[in-house]
Amino acid sequence: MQPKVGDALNARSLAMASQLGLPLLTQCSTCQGVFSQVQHRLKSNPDYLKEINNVLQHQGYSYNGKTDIKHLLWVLVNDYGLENVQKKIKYSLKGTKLAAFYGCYLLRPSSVMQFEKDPVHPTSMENIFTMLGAEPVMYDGRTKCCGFPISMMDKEASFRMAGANLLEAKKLGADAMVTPCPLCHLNLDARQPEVASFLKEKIDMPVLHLSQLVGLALGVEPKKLKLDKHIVDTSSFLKKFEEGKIQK
Amino acid sequence: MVSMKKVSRSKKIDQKKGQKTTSKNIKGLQKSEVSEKNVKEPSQEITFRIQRVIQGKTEMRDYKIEVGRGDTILDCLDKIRDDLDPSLSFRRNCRNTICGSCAMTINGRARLACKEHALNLIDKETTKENTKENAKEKIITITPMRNMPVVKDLVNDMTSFWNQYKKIKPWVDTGDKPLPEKEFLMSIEQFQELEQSADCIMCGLCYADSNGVEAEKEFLGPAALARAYRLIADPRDAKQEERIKAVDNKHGTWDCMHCFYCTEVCPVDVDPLAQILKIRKMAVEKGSTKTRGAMHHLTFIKSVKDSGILNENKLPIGSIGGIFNIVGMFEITPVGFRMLTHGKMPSLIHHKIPKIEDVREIFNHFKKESFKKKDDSPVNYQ
Amino acid sequence: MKGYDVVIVGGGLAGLRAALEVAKQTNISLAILSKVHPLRSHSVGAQGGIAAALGNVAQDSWEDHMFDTVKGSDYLGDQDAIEVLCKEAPECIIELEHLGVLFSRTKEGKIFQRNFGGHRNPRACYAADKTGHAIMHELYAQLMKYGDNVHFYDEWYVTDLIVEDNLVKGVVACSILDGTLELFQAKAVMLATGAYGKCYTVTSNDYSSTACLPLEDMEFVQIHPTGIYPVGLLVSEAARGEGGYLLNDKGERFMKDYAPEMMELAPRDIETRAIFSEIKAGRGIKKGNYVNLDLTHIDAQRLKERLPFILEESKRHLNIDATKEPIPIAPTAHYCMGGIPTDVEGQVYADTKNKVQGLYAAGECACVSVHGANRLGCNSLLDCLVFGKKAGIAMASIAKSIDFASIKNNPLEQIKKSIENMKMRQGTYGIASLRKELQETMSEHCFIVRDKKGMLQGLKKIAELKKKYDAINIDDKGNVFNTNLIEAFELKSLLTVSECIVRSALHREESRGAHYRSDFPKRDDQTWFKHTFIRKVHDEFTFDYKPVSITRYQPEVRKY
Repeated sequence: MQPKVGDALNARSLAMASQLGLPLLTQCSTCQGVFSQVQHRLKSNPDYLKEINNVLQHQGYSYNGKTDIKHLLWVLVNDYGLENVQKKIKYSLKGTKLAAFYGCYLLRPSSVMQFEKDPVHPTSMENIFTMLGAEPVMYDGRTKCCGFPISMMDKEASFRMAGANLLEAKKLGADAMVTPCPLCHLNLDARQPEVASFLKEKIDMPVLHLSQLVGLALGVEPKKLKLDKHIVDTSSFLKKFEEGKIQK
Repeated sequence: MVSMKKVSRSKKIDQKKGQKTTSKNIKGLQKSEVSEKNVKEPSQEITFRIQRVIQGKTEMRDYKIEVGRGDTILDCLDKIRDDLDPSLSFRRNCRNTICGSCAMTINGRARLACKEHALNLIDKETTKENTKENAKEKIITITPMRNMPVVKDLVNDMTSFWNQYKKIKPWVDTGDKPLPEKEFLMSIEQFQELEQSADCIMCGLCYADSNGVEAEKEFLGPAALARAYRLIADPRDAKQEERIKAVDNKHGTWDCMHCFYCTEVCPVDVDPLAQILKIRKMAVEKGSTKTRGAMHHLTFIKSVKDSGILNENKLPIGSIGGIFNIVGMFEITPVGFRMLTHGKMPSLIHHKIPKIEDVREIFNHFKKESFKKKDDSPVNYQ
Repeated sequence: MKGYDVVIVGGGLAGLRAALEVAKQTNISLAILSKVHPLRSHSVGAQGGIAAALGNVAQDSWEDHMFDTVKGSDYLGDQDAIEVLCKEAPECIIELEHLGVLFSRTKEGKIFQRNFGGHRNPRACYAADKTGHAIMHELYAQLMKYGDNVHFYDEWYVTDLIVEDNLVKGVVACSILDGTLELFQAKAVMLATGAYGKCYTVTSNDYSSTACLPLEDMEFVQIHPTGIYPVGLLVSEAARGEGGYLLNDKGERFMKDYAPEMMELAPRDIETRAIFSEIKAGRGIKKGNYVNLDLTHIDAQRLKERLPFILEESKRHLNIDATKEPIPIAPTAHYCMGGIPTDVEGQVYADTKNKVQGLYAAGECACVSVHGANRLGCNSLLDCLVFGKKAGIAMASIAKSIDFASIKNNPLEQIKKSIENMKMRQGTYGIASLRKELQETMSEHCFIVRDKKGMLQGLKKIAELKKKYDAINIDDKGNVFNTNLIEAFELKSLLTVSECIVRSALHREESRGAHYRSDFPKRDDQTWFKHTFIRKVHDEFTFDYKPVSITRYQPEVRKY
């Protein structure tokens, strides 16, 4: 109801991380976005941080505003480093065409997120694809919304949004879409059959979470990555992967 | 192609201005510090790849010109039209980001041509044209705005945008309030609360890049909703409740996807998304519980309050108004069923987090506080 | 042919204010023709404020306002008109406030007022430094209330005004969107077309500012003292109203030598000439062609509240943080005091005595004259409102009392043909290059300081340009959004207006307000205490004179 409640709850989680002396890793763009924004508000307004801490202190927490919050994508690119990832790769993804789906919250508001050098034309996902040996598909939809936030309020619009992105990637020859966000994944994968029937289009676009893609390259079994649990069958993509996979 | 001496047009004017205007009669003219600062850096040859409509056919055309550090995209377009192709059409007027005419898509993002400096884009942006290996040319791509039909070249038909503006009854309506003899009194804080949304210049950039508008043409869009907030929050206006009601529906505030594009592209920092969320908040506070959006919102909160985390099974059901909403249940059943069969359904037994009482205490704290004073907390985007 | 009781040409502040008066009346059909969408009009660019003796911050009276305006005008303003302007100002502001315009506030919640050049009391009501924007967006929104009763023709360019037997009958306009040419019959027509800043190379005006009956006091062109150097875009006088200093290369507040009492807040003609003199004397910054506008001594938070646009503007154009560094500025063409002569009701004069039936004008294109030889800051928005409203009321009453008069000679076909000819002709000159030559000519020969020799050269050059104009080339042969063609129309008007300015300036052999002649450096009340009317009949220009109205204040020596 009140933003302050949300900020206090998130500050509580951040304080827990800070007690452990560890940075916070997210694997979800929305979580990253929410945490980053809360962090931004608390950092840019010391009085506000104090106010929130007044509430948290009853529970034995105090947040210093210093917890690092990082998405898996950022950690791979910046902290761990693509070169180091490359050293651990078991299989190349050569021969596959991949469409990154960044979604909204990892990029915007860019004044808060400040990760991509150029938030209008982000490159980190594509850089990972290239490093893994895959060919990135560049399309307009890669930085747009997946439609998830309004899937309950306006299903048709949500489907049109998801459908437009999926079809654009498909038209440009993508074998799979890869997203760093489980909510995008939900709208693009779990709802894809409905999207397809609503738009009267055949889509059949496998959608992977970033961690699954990297996992494949590292040699993790598809089953272990739960690629068999997807709503949209991933076998067409896995077949391509198998065909082109070269042991490194 | 063009010698270094041939700096861009605006530069020439700059220098000329010195000579021709203030100082025709000034002898021993010297270059000033500012123009030195601007001219010191050599100009660069930039290719402008511009969408044209020529005899009814849409095509991209390239124009190469020399661009200096201070040149805005608008300066460049003027130069292209003046020197290379007078048939190029685009709107422009004030040159100073206040009239909102020169809205267009520049390197894939809705922007005002008068606000962007061409070489800054070249330096910062990693467009697919410019990241190609061995890119020989420096390219800036300019197309008309999205989400609106094109009239010619970079000119959009903005009728739909203005229609949405008209729909929200965009004037301040004092209704039956008696008009004071002098001005209505308004506190500095009230003025400041209105200032941000009132700064809107109606350029249409937010509408052009809004994903909500892309998906649903009936959606009022960010600019009209920001205007709605500006009116709702105006203490002189007498129609607050009607206004909130008029936009508290599917194609009003609840078609907004939080894509953040409006806030990102706004050239005058209106932050339309923040204004939209303020209206939603007001609507829910005023007891709006019937919209899907409000129900989703309330269920979300209840779940966190009850268990400390989100109950992903209850959320969709709550959002459509509980299990007695038969039609709504049919809408969400397929996805739930599919997820269940694929082993992706979240656990049906919803656990509470440890120390749930802490979470509830936070809720209670702010609930008590909100009775004491008006909630002045910053807008939360999610 | 379309018919409207009232046709307003121009959707800026004067046009919209008049429209509101007409729209309030029922059963009057109204069309507003504007070559840009009304909210793109240059009125939105007005920054600093609007003057009215509300006395919210310090004691003030309309008489004080009137005296300041008369003195500011170098006594050429008509005092009967100035009295109307200043007396009605407070009511006009209160009306705006009731219509929803957001004004910055005092602690007590009243409309805040700040200092402005030439005004002795804090009198400028403002909305941060986006006052024009704040007013325009609320006025336009208010007009939406009347739905289809107010018909906006956005992006229509008016090519001709139809006056027969001293009676206005309508206008001919061209849709920029699709090239349709249409005759709009009307009982009353208002010209609210703005000004002609584009005659000059450096101007704070936008691109749409071009205007053509007799024209009054055309020699008086206001050159604003503080344009961002080198682009010329305006830094509002509000910057000095808030306490900004003008500094030369030695770091001196040089205004002490020119206006020891008012310093940076003397009227614009005086500030501009002072800057010009400093630069000429080699005291421009680094001996260059600009001086500094320094705000760094003012509290940064106050600047952010009062002058946010100026801070953003300096950052955007010069990458300067104006709270920490001075802004380089130089004078820039800004406003024309002269224009289409009208009476205090806004009705247009056909000559120095007779008026045209049904024809009105207000705003910058008009000359009532309240600004005389030099306008004070914050009086232009006020001029638009007061006289726009009056014109609106007058037109509404005409609309109710008379019938449409039939048009004897419908010019539509002829205009259509001439446009086709212009488009199809294989010309040799590009519009942009001719316009640039014209701007350079005007900036060189008829800017801050003028003399006979220079202006004669200027006229010669303009004559050449007029010849060249007959051989211009229109590259765009299409009908849809043909800006090429529109610019050709505009250039023609610019040529005519420029010639009027130079001829009027050449004619007035004295220095007064914004008109400074190095060969006649003194004001000459004996000979020149009068308005000039210039009229073009075929290719001949003739002059006529009208006495200045004096009701309260006799001309004195002007010191600040």
